[in-house]
Amino acid sequence: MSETTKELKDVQEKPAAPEAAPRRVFVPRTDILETDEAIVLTADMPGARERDVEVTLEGDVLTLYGRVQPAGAGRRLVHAEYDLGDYRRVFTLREDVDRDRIEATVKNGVLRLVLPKAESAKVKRIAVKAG
Amino acid sequence: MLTHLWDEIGRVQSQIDDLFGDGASRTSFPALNAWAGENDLLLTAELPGVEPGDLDISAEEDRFTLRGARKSPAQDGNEVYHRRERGFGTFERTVELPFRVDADKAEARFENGVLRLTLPRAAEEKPRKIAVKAA
Repeated sequence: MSETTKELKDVQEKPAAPEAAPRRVFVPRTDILETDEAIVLTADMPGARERDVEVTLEGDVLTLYGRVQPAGAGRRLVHAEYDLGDYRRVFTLREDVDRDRIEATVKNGVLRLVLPKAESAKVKRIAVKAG
Repeated sequence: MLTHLWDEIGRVQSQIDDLFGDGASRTSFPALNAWAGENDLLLTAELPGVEPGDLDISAEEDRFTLRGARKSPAQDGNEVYHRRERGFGTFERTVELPFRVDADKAEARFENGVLRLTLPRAAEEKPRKIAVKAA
């Protein structure tokens, strides 16, 4: 009798929430370019909207995370050439970045992140004059 | 016999991928997923960074063609790329469908870099419910 009660207790305490199911996570293809003024990251995250993307900077560690909604409700998947999942990528910044002026925009499933360089990190071009 | 001939022609045309065949397994862009509903076929493709205006979709009774381009961003002189993982350029893909569709009623939506193309089944392709009469 006591064994049955224990089993029931275990079942009730396990979460039934869908978030407990593991989500596939992909590494998004990313272009990184550097100008005199800033570092610009462009990452492909098809299916992610602005509100689904999270960008965090802790110390010099930059984390990009994009969440994607499940698709195709009500129909049967008959052919799959790609898988659905979230996007995550972590970078270590080597430049000093002006944290207050970081800009992130999402358009057509692409995250564009502009990291303006801190004054000290900006490339200063020095004019060379004839002596 | 005629169906068999048609398959042969399909294989000769290098751009046509049979949606359900295991023949053409080279990677084509874009990757496609297909969802079959009772009344339609939903095709989805990931096309991040493509502008809706740069997409060209045409559908016929038994196939559809997707054409488009992802333009690379304008470059000025002072840029240095540290990583270049994303591709740019034009793409074209034609796919044979598993059943006939009504191309006139096709609908395409493009949101967040994902194309969703809904192709209603041709009337004769709808599963017909057969009434069971008591003897």
